[in-house]
Amino acid sequence: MFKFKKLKNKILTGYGLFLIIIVIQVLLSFYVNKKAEETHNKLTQEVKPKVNLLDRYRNANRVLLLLVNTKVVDANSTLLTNKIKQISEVDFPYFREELNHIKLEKNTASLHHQSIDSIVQNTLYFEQNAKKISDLLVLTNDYKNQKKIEEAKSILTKSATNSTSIDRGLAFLQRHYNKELEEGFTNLSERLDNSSRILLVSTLIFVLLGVFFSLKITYSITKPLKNLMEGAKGITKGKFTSRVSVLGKDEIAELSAIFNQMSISLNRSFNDIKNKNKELEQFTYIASHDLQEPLRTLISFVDLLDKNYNNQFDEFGQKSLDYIKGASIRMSNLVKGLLEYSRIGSSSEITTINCNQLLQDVKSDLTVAIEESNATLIIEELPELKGYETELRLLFQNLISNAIKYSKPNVPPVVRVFAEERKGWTFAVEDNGIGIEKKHLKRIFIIFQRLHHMTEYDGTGIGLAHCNKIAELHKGAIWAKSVPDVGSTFYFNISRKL
Amino acid sequence: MKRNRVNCQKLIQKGSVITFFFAFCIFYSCQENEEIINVGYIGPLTTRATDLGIAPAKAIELAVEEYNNKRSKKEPKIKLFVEDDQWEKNNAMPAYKKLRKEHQIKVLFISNTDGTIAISQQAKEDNVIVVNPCNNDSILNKLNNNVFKIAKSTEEAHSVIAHRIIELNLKKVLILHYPNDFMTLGSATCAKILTEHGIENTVVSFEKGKTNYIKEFTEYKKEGYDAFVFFGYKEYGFAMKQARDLGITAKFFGSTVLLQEDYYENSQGAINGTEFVFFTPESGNYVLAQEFLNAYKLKYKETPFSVWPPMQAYDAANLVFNELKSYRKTKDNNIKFDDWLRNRLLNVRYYEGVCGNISIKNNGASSGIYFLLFKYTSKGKYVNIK
Repeated sequence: MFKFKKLKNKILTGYGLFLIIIVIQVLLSFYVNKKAEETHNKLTQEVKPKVNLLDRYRNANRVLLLLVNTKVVDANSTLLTNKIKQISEVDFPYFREELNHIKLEKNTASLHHQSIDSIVQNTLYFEQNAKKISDLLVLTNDYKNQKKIEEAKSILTKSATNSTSIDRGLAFLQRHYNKELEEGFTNLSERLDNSSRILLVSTLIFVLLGVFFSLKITYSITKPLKNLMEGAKGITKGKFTSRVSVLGKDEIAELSAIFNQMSISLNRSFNDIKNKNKELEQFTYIASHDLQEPLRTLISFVDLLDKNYNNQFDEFGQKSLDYIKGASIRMSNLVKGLLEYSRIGSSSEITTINCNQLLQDVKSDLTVAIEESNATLIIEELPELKGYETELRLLFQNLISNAIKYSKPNVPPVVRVFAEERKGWTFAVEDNGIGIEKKHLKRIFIIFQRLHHMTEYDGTGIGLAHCNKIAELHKGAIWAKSVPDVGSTFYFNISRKL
Repeated sequence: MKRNRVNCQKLIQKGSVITFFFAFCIFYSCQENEEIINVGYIGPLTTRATDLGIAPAKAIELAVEEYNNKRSKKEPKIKLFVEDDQWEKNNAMPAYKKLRKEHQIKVLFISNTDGTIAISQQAKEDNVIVVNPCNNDSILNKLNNNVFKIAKSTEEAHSVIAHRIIELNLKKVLILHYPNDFMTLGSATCAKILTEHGIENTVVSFEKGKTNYIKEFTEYKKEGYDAFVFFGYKEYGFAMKQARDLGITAKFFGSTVLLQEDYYENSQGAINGTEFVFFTPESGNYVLAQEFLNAYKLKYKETPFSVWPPMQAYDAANLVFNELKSYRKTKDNNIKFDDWLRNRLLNVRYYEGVCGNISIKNNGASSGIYFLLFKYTSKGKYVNIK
């Protein structure tokens, strides 16, 4: 197949081929029809008129003989006289002239020449004789004139001889032209049959050719487009190493090359971002880990100060020491949280997790909190799935402990955990707690964001950020629906393909 | 190899463009302008001999309509324009000039013999072909070669009357004729045959519009004529009535125009029994004639009172239109219109018309239309005698 530099060339060539096929087919039809038309015209314009002429000639000859015969015996015959005039003055001269034209035609046989000459000569005599009879018998009285009647009868006898000769000659010619006409129509019929067959076969061939070329050209356009589409889909799914094959030199090929460059560029950027992320996580880890040490020292010395010099501090000194101690513990918790956050997904492996068992373990871990708050934890039938077990456990633990923590005063918390299959698994942790205002529903998943003061509910503001990161680790998302003073439901989904 | 491929692509693309171009050119060249040929008709639509004018005009109009409906796009369209000459030769030229000036007619059909003579020279100068669809006689044959006569022979038609008089053994005959060429020639033909057969005959002519013949017929009664031949129009209805009122019982003969309605009215029935020459569908091609009369009735919701004038006019028109069909195909640009059409008409040897099979002779006169003898029985009714 051709290699095209431009897509428009490909499309134009497709149309061009199609047009040329149509034109060839039309020309072929035209040629076949023309041939059939020529034969038909020859028969209808050359042979058939001759057959008709000879027919009419023979009829006129017979009628004229009958008319002159009647004219001789019937005195009241003006109408007959007019008909005799009609034939001898108009019809016969015309027939004679036409016969002479036939004689002059190239393909008229010499035998026919003789017949035509004889017919024409006898017609002339017959015309003259008919006129003589008409002139002889004009009035009624003419029929009483024996001499005129005898003369008329004598002319009539000659006329009969002329008429017989004419008829014989015409019958001879008629036989020839009838045969020619019959053979011609048989020939035409066969030719038309053949033409129909040729047209049918050629049409089929051209249709097949047309379909073949159309498919070939269409395929040559759609195949690279399809490749391109697959490549783009790969990129969408994060396969930045996707490449498409570059076929030909047209615009699609150019687009494919550009796509590949774009893919390389994206892959490079993605790897850069991944490295930067790793560096950042490492920094967070190192920072939080290293911060623990001076904090632990600070807290130890505060404890020592509190233990050994408790009585030497005045009221202000004691209060300041308590603040230092409290702040150091909070800071330690924050740093721990950060450390945990940075560790999420860093060392675990994907395993098959029985969520029912996982939730039982979580429930066991939270026994004290559940009992203290008099909470009810309802765990519905949960699936078995693939995921990071430690992280998932932390996710459930965070959500359930939040549900218990943010309960309404004097209302025992009721927490329900359930799941449903929807493009992977979607889990939900529903509570009857204090709820969250709609405007805060997105903010709560950002690290260190808190909605309440420490005095109301303690915490670091890092739990839900953990949850968010764990959901993302499972190629899912986390979100919440809530009605203040009614309760909240936290949803997260986990992809099947990890 | 690569170069060959590129060349092949270019060839296909250029080929398709060229194919489009040629297809467009062929399509465009097929869109030819329509050719229109204007034809005129001058005849008596009012005043006198209207049976020779109104019905023929309608017959030609019908022929034009049929031609235009059946024609292919390559054949010229025909438009007809009609003028009234009131059967007066003096009106012919103004009518002709009007048709020429306003419509540039190329073919003219005209019924009146005197009118034909009057315009013939001007028509020749204007390259217009003139066709008389009513009369065909020796006077018209003397005109120029642009004048064609597609009608019955005047001499032949009137000789039928003469032969009938001879056959009836009538000895003394008075021939009255209207002072125009057609009737004058008819009278002369009749008189000549009668004289040849030894029958005493007198030919008289009366001025146009005369209605009182009492004085003349009082004299004729005294002279004892066996037969009166009325070669004229409606005025002779008065003459017939007045002759019978004077007690004249001699046989009456008439011309081809006896079936005019006014003729009968003026004669108050005295016309009944008159023998005259006439033409009916049975005299020509009965099948075609019936088709024509049916089409005429369908279009005009009437049947012509006298059938031969529209039949002849219909044949004359169709014969000419049959030749005009091939205008584009056979006319060379260097040939003048009248030269081309004249040549075509002179080669018509066999035209199957409603009046019979017609041929055109070298002098432009037709052969093939022959009149018969009829007897007037009552208003608009007649029987064939011979």
